[in-house]
Amino acid sequence: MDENRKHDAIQGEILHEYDGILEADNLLPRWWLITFYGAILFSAGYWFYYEAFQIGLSPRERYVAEMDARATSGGEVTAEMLAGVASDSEHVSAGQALFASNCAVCHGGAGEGNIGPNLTDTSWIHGGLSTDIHHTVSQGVANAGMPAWGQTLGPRGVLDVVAFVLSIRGTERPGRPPQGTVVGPDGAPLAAPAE
Amino acid sequence: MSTATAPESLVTRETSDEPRAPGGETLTFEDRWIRYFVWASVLWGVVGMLVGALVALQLAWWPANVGPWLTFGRLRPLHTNAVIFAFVGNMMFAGVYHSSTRLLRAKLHEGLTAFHFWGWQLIIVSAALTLPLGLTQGKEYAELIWPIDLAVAVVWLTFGANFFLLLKNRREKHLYVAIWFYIATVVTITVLYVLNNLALPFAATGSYGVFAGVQDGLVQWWYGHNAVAFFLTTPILGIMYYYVPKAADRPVYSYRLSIVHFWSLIFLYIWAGPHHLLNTALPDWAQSLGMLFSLMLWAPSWGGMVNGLLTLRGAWDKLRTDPVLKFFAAGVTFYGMATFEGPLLSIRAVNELAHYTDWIIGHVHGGALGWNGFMAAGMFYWLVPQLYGTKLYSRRAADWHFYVGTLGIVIYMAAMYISGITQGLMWRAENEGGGLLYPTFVETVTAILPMYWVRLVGGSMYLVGFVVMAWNLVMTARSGAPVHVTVKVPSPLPAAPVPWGKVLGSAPVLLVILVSTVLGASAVLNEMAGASLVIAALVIAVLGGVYVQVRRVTQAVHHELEGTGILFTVLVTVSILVGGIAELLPTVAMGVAERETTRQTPYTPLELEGRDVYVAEGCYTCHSQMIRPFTWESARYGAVSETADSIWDRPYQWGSKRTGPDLAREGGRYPSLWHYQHMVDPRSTSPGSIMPSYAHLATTPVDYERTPNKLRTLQSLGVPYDAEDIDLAASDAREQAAVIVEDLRVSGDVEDADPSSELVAMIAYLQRLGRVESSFVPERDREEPTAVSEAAAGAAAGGGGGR
Repeated sequence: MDENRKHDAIQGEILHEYDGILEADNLLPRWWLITFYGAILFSAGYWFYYEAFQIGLSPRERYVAEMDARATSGGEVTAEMLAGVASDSEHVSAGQALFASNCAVCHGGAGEGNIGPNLTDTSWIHGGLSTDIHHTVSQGVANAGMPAWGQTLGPRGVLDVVAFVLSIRGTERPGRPPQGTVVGPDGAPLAAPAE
Repeated sequence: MSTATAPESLVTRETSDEPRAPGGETLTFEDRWIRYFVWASVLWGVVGMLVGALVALQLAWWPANVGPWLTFGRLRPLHTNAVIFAFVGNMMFAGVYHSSTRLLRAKLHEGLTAFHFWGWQLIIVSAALTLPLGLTQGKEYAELIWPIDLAVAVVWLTFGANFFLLLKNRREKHLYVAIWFYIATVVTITVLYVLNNLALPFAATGSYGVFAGVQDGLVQWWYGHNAVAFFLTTPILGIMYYYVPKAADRPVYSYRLSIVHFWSLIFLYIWAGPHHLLNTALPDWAQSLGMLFSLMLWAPSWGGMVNGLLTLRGAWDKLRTDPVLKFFAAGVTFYGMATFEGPLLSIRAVNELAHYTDWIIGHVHGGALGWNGFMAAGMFYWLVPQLYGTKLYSRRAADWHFYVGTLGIVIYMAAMYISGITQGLMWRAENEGGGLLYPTFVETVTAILPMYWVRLVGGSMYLVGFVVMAWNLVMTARSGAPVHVTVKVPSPLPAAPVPWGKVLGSAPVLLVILVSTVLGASAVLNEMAGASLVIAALVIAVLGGVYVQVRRVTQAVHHELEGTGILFTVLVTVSILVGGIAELLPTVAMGVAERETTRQTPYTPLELEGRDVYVAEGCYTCHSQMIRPFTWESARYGAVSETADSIWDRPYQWGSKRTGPDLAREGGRYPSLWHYQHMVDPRSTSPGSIMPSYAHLATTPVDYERTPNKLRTLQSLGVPYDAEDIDLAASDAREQAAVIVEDLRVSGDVEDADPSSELVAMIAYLQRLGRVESSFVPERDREEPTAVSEAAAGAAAGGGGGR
């Protein structure tokens, strides 16, 4: 390397030259070192807190705690409560909107049935009582392709949908032929009840 | 300047700071293959970005999917592979070869280079033919089927051999920082590619991977993340270290920064893969390692940016006039933004919002378009005039490319940030009384559709700029002629013993070994003992660091190390292996143990065939199979995913993007009739859906004669199929298909479903997802006549059936 290339006015002392490329040797910027050491120290602390001593909850543990809290906060669903909900037009119209966006694809826009059964006739596959319908909507029917809507719609959403379904029950819309057990006007089974 | 002579800077300057014998020898570089690699990169860049524009259009406007070959699921892998391996690959080979021959003062091996070039192009062409045909391994950026994988390995090793021959024949004793990064690239990509593609073929075009489920996921992202690190980053950093000081004609900012950021970068990067699997079923300790090593990687990455940008000190004024420096400065800045965003996205809480959304798409395009694309443009604008002994044809066009490209990136990324954050917030929005505010997935898709159009505009602007560059480069080449460059070289290096003891026994190396050993010991001990060791390691690191700093030994030792290619390569290899071994070995051991205890039964033959259709169609490019532990996530998709759910999955299909909903617990959610109608016309069951129609599955037959061989292959990989399962696989599959067809007939008006069609197999697979065992039991295995077929025929029995 030529003597006059051993120093640069801006970059300072030049250590090496490769194919005409000069290499200076400036100090590492202080903020850069702080970032580097800071990240290492933070990582050590995080590791102690979440992994080595497990003081902090992992995402899974936090989830389980939250689900436990939710499970204990819900009230009992009774026929009386559902009857009250079904007579409330606010619940029914909210349920109609939810039905249109979530249920209509399978059960038809007016509940007349399509891929899923007709909800306006007097035959019910999984029980026609208001509590049965609440259970079916909330828990789903795994082998029959009915999704569980309880968590997706939440307790209030399920109540709304059940209110709407109760409002169209027995209105006998032409659509998919009846399936399941014939029930009376109140939904009480005339034949053997479903499980 | 005459076209027959080389640019002045290359011929007149001597190299080497060593007072070795002048020798007076010269080397003449013909650079033919470097020119070829440049043009291949430009060509494949246009192709890859065109496919990118097409898939962007398909997301905005679903009718642009032309089944079966030109659907999003098949073209998205083509886009990613073309851009990564064809565009950046060829660009990297051009830059590595060109700069290495100059820096090492040695010539490429003609035969190896020719084989490398043509072999790589052949691989690209075969990828472009097989991926649209649905021939794929179903792992991101590792989709190519096993015969092509073998070809990639051979050609990559050819590249490696060629590169190490340069090292061996070099006349320049010491290795410049660019060469360090190239060594890391060659070594690490070899290790990653081989391990991630280990597979057992069942046919000429298909195979099952050695790893399954969570192990496959971890290996895949150890590979996937480090393909970004060692294919898209380290070689480009090397290229930056050569071409930025060349173009700016300024000294490199800091040698010691090069040393620190190089070693910390390659050591830390390899651990960071699990940040792609945050909040999944991956064990928590591995997730934490992924997050923390990503955070620690922030400074080493920025070390590269600092060294690149501060090399421009004293040349900032040239940015106004020189398009090369414009692209380099912007490219390095985009690198800094992407490597800040990466650690940010690796924080669990941020990842919770961003994962599976378009935010990630925005992030990777900041890196791909901003860093890789602009570094490529800068290099081409500098290199092509050099290779053809002329000046850039149009500086105005290059400036225009810069502005339209930058604006395109900004529009693209803004669209993806808005879309990703919007959708992420909609997914998690809950009502006050519990329940999702947006229970229908499609609502969250239609909300972001406008952004998909904006993204198409931004991406297209970038593509237009790139095409202008291609034209500009062609015109430049036509204005000149290929040049042969002659440089003076020192006499051959004297044979010197490798200073193993001197380097390995030096304070910095001993310090690293000591700290690593103490940290490693802490990992196998529990709580207090482990914690004290970690603290001890930190203390040793600080004290040792101060000692090394005060005695100023690092530079001296490192300069010694740079004099020996073998020793350097060995240390690089050790550095990149540590993280992989520490994360992969325990996870693989855990997986082997879990296989013994799991209740999860393997797929039935028909479900397996359906799964292979799912993989071939690239469903994983839009659908995840991994429900994370959040209330809003289990509310939408069902119980949180466990490792057992995917224990037999080869490849694992957890996915990385939710353009459509998660499918981990899709089985039994809807009737088979729903799936039939949904696949034929997605909008009939999900109004507003942007999914392509898969009507062609209804008419494409499954060849059940190959099914036994698939089961046999899986059996030899440890899946518990017995001899009878294998022998009767075809008839079992037909029996299950008949049950589904009967169900479709009874429950709907589908009279003509073909029992041997891919669609029926796909329905069998979808109905199995999330279930411990299949709802189908072949007649030969039934202990008594059960209600399986009756249940399937309409679930008339009420209740939940036989669960």
